[in-house]
Amino acid sequence: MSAAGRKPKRGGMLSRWWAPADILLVLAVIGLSAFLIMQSVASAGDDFDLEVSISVNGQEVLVFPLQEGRRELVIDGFQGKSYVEIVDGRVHMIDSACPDKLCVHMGWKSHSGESIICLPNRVVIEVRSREGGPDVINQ
Amino acid sequence: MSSTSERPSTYWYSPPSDRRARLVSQLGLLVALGLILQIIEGMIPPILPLPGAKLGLANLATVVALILLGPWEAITVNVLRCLLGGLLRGSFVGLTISLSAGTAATLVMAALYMLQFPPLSITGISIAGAVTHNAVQLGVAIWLVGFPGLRHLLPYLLLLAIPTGFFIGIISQRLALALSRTSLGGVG
Repeated sequence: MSAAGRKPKRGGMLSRWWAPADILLVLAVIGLSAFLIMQSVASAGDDFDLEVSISVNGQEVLVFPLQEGRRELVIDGFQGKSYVEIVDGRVHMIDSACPDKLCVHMGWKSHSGESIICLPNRVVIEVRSREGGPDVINQ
Repeated sequence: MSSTSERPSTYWYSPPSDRRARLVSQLGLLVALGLILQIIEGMIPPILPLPGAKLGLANLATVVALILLGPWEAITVNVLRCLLGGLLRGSFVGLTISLSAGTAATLVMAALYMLQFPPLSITGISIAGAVTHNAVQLGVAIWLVGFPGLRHLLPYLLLLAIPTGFFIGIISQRLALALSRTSLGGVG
């Protein structure tokens, strides 16, 4: 009885797979994401004088200039060691003590505001301009 | 009786106690569906290099419950599925994240479904749920793990919620449409 009473009410909703308002929702989400990406890129500054900041569990442990020479870093993370390489103005994760290796697959980063994140090992590698990122301003 | 067996969901009559048993079995089936989908999803290797990026197949059970049974039943299915799924995986952090994000997403979807404003389709409601899920998931992860660097991922996770929510929405609309013509669909 209640099924027969309910069906016509929601019937229109079930029979079609999209509505005009859906497009507005998708556009709003794309707009919000674009705004957030632009904001993080803008606050990180330009790509002129860059440095690599490495944090473990939210605390910055190492800062190196991005453009100078070649460096291999070993970071003691939460679950084990993370191996980071800085070469030719780019940085990438060689290997990390995590099961999924998502951070290794994030590849090379060279622009201000870009980051590599290894969640299981709680290691964040951030590229930013040398004057100091938004974190320094906040302090 | 022959006409009853053709379209049982429309002409079904059942006494109140039977109705309760029916609801319990419907909820049980949907929770089991969600758990199976969660296990299947765990077998798929991660495609995108983003922590927390998943298709969210298990949420299909929640959306189908919302359409076929109603908002409270959807919340029930979601909470039971998250608790049992968390026990299966054995990770407390994973359980907390999936329970809070899943419940927030279900509440948003239930509100949009009941209000019917803005006039979204099932696909749109599912996308809104996926966006909520990913945002809350990241927020809880930052709070729980104490790991503010994760905030960089927010725009990418929001963008990813559009295709995954779309996919889940379309499938659950088809599934609910098919199920509503069987004796499994509808409130008995």
